[in-house]
Amino acid sequence: METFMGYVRPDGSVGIRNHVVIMPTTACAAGTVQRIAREVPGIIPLLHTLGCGRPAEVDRCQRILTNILKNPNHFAVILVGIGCEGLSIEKIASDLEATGKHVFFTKMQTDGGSAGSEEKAVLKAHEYLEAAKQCKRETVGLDKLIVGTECGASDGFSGPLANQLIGELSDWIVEQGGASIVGESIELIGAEDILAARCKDQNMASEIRSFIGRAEKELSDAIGWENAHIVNKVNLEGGMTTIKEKTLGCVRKGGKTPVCGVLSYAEPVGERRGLIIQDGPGFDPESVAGFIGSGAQLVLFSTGKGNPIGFPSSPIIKIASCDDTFNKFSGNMDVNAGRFLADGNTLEPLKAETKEFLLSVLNGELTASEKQDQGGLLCIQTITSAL
Amino acid sequence: MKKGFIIDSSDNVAIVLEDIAVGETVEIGAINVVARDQIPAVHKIAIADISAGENVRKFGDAIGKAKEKIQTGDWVHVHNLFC
Repeated sequence: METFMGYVRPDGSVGIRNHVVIMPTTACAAGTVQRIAREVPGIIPLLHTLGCGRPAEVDRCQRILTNILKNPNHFAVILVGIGCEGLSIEKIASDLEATGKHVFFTKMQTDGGSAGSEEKAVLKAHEYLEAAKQCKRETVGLDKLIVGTECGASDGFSGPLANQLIGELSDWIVEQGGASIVGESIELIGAEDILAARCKDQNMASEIRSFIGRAEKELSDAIGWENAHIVNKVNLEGGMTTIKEKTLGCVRKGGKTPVCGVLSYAEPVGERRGLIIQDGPGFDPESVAGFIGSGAQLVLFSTGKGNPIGFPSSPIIKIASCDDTFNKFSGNMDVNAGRFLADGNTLEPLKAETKEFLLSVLNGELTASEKQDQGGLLCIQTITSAL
Repeated sequence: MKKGFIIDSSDNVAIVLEDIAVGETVEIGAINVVARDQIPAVHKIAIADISAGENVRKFGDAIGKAKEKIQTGDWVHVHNLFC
């Protein structure tokens, strides 16, 4: 089995980064979190627009944010709330503590307003950063690795080249005992039979058919059956025509191994391994956040027309589908699947190099999205609709 | 010569790698196809005649059906392919 040097966490999960993150438990506290992050370089703000109101979504939102914070790339978590928000800051903190993660929280309404919370959080942030420096990487097997796979702004080269490369890497990770997740329910429309035939048991096959069917109905209800089965403008310009064509390209990210699990959005992978299908949204930042919530330490992301997206606290390996996009977005891309042609219509040399690059990223080498600080906002799917 | 590639041997369309003008010959693996339409890079070219209503195949699977008769060398997109 291949190995890498990771941060072994108290619950047995393994981080490939060792970040101290800070999150508001309501968007009302986002300004304070931004101030703290500016004052303490090195901590990573996970800013979002949620936390209160919409009572129907509170439980779901709390569960998803908690799962994201549990990601093993986080060494410690600081939570900043105001005190009256719908989310329970105490419950999030205790759920994180139960996994052995370092957690600190402050509530402005009882800690002296934003100034009081800021002072407390800044002190704690410095303390956590010092403690993080003491962590040492240890040798672990690739069976500790969970990757999410994503495609965005796809073109005609995405499926056969970039997604094909991701699929072959996925097969390798699964063969090494790791896990690989394919999500984006609306991009699986038309792949029901293909995926069901690969399921290890009948229940999984039924679950997959059920959520893809639901996604197809929601999409058709929203924009009409015909529009739901033709790809969007960017994909049309990129040479794709039908949703089935896009889907056949999308599912290539899952390689050829059997389907070993089905997850809801941001549901932890836990001890499951092999290829896992997630019922998740098609919007890239939400989908990526779902993988992070499921425990993925790394995301493999293919792009046809180009997308600079990163995740605030986890690396994304960006794979351009063609030379043109790789060159236009050169600072944002890690791998150029367009090299297939220069290599003589084969992905083999690129696959070998990308495996080496992936292992170096696990060991700490920064990806383009990390170097370019493209983390941005934390976007999560707050309602159960696939759209 | 400009090139294209076939994803699966059972496909009846290929992907062109560069913009193709009407009448240009495209080398696609072992075969040469003369383009009957202007075809943008990354788009699909028919590498076999496809009857109206017949499956258009890419990735070794049906991606839709021909709206009308498609001839070898035609650009295949929304105008002649439906779900």
